[in-house]
Amino acid sequence: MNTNETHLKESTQLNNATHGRWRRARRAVVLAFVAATWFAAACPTPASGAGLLVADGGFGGVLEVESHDVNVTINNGIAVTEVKQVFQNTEDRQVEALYTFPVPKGASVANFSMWINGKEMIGEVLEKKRARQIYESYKESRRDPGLLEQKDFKTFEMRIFPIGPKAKQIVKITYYQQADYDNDWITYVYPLSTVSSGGKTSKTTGKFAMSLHAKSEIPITEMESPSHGKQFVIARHAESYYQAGLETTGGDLNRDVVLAYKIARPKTGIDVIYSKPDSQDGYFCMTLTAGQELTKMDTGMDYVFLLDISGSMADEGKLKISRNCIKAFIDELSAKDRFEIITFNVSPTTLFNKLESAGEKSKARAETFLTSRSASGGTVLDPALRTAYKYRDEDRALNVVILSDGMTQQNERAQLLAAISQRPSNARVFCVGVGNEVNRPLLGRLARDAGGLAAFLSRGDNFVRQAQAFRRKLTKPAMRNVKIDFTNVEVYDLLPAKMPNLYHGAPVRIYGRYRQAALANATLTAEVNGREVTMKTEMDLPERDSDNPEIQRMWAWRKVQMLTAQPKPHANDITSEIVRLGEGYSIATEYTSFIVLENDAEYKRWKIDRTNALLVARDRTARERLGKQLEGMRNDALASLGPQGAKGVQGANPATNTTGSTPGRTPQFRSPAPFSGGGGGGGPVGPISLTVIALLAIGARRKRKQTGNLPDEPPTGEPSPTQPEA
Amino acid sequence: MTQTALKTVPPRRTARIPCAVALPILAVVVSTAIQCWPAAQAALQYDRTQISLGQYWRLVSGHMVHWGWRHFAGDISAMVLLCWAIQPRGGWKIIVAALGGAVFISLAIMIVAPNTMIYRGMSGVNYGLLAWVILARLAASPRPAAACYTALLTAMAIKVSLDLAAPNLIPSVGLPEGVTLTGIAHFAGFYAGTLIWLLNRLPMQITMQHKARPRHVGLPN
Repeated sequence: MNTNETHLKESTQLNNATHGRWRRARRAVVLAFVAATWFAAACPTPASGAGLLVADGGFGGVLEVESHDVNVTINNGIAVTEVKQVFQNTEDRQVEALYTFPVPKGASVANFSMWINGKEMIGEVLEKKRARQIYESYKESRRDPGLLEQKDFKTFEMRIFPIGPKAKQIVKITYYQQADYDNDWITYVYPLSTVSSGGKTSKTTGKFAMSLHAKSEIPITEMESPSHGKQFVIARHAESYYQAGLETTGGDLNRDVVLAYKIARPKTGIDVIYSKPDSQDGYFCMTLTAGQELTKMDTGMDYVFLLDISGSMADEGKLKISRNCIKAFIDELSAKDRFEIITFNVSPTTLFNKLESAGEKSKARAETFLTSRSASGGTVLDPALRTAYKYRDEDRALNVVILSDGMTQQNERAQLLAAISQRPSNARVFCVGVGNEVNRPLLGRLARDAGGLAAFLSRGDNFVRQAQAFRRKLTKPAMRNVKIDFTNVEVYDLLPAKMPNLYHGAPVRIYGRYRQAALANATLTAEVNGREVTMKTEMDLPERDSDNPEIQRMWAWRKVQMLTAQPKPHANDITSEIVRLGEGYSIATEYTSFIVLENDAEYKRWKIDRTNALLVARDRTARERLGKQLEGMRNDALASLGPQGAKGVQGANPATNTTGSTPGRTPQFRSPAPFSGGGGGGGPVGPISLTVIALLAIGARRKRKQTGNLPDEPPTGEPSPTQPEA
Repeated sequence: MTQTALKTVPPRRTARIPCAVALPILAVVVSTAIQCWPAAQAALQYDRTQISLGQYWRLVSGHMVHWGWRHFAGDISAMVLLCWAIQPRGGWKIIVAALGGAVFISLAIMIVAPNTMIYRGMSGVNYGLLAWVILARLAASPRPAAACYTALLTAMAIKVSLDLAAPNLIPSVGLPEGVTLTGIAHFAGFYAGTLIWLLNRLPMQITMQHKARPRHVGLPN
């Protein structure tokens, strides 16, 4: 054997050994992958929660939100939001679901339902402690209760027990709120963003869908979503009716959904809607919107911006957004105006230390100053507010604009309210809160007591537009000392009892009750720049009206808010009145909660009246009527599409449309691509194909074993690495 | 001494991971990462609206996103087994075939199924590779085995046609409730695999014909 032969033999042996090891390793890797993937399939899906949904079964864990459907109808300025969610327990044990969600601004939760044994069980409102006791008693016997409580001013908490291993649970929540009018823009916010959800996965595993129907007496000219842009499909069915739809898979439940639409002109004057159930006094909702009475003031104004830079402002990017808000506001100032910026945490810091004219140079300095601020420390607003008052000039109006989350120290609140009441005569205080983690009651009260306004912005909103709208309010005089008189009818329980100032573009809604049907007159008197202004309207108070039942609960909710804002809200008479209102009108409050029981017999057993079941049935009937009306408008819009006068076109039933879009209910699309409102697709290879593939793989392995080589000719036409080319 | 030393030195070898091994490893790693990261799923899935707005990467990345772990398991094991059947052959062309197939499938979904807004899954690509494997076996097998492979190919063609015509006829395993089978993905994948295999085969056929041409061998004088 010569040297070359020895070398070749050694080399071949080495090659064979190396190839053998490589093959074994490769086989092990392949088998490991296959085993791992099948194991993954067999094992429960790792828990990935959405928002603040957690399994509170004593061992931690997070549940999944499988789907989240939101249906919103805005009619007569009142938004009805219906949220249907499907939860999935991904764990192999029985758990209690705990779901915390933010309360929308000015919203009243009016229903909570759960699907038990395939049937929707509507909840009932009870005094909070009693509801909790009933819930706990069911929990012990491991049966099906659900509980919805108001946790604080900004959050609701829902508990459901038990959710069995791998089981699903469907829940539905309905709430009413006033649409947020600002001049000619109406904004709707579906709040999802919360600080406390940080760090948790915030996606639905399945569908997140939202559908909004906006109906307005004044024509709608455009609709947009500042938060989700072109993800929303927007359709104009009629001048007075727009529809918007959003549907995604793996929807983000940690971001507010904001939709805004513009009406052809600012809604001004007095509008009234009614609700009159049989054998009860009636309800009305009056919307006052100032128009031409408030002409723009030519004189310059002074502005002091108080920017909160405490540690809590770092959450949710609140500081960044507040900074952008001030920048947008300052950009809108004219050379006649003067301004100053004060940042504060535990102590205030001023920018100019005097009021500076709003020129280019000072605006640039302000921008640099704002950019250099970062969030840290606690919040002590009082010294900053008192510093701001020092900028008062006898001849000019002073506007103090506070941008804060209102998360001040508890013991400071009384001082703040005192500071507000001691403000200079020509000073107004305005509050702007950004995000959902804002102390709305405090900021609202500060602004109200100071004759100003509070604005709460979503992170997903258009800040430039909001800043412009806010500035518009400030540059126009307000209607002060607003009074309203009713003649020819007995009206009572007006809310708010004390009329607030009326600003340009910001309507004031008054809820009240009336004794009997009548043709009455309402006269509004107010003071604008020292002169008296009068507005009159005729009210045709009906004997019966079932079209707007929402305003009954809105009235009750307003009354609860008024009672909660009393100096001693925990006094017995106040809490018992809140409980009476909560139970009577089926609204969740600080003292009342929703409870869902397994069946009607269980409600009877606990002697719980089915008040809410009746109210929900009544509300749903009213909404169905509205739904039919909207459907008619959609059908009219569809009928006008395509060539008119062709055979079969007139009166064509859109239900026969086979274009793939959901007929009647689906908007006509303005987005770049049509969106069917569904269309989630996929394709697993399936058991048949997988078997074929496995057989082919086994065949390949056998052939390799037999030949010690490759199973067949190279499919790519490449020469074999081990066989010499013939 | 020098000669002996030389004898013990092993021949120089270059370590190469075959593409048929690299492809499933890549698919498993990327798909697992995506599956564990919900934000990535939304950003990478086939989303018709987003693609039309210029997010063209979704044409390929959508095939790596799955509806759940069961869906993932089915697709990934099929991919691993198919590559196992192909390897160590296949070469870089298998990666080209998989990527080309993915784009072809996505475009087919866009054109043929405009109502499918969102699509996830690797099954279309798998059907492409399956067609490739069967055709390769068919070409290399003697007549009786070739008949079996022809029958298998026909059966699979019927299967993907049924998936296209009646997606609910054969119940799908691994898809969550509410998600429907997108038959066009299987159909397009299968025929993309066939087409790419044929295109790849064409230059080899020409080469073989060229080699098979009789050469004139002259007798020694």
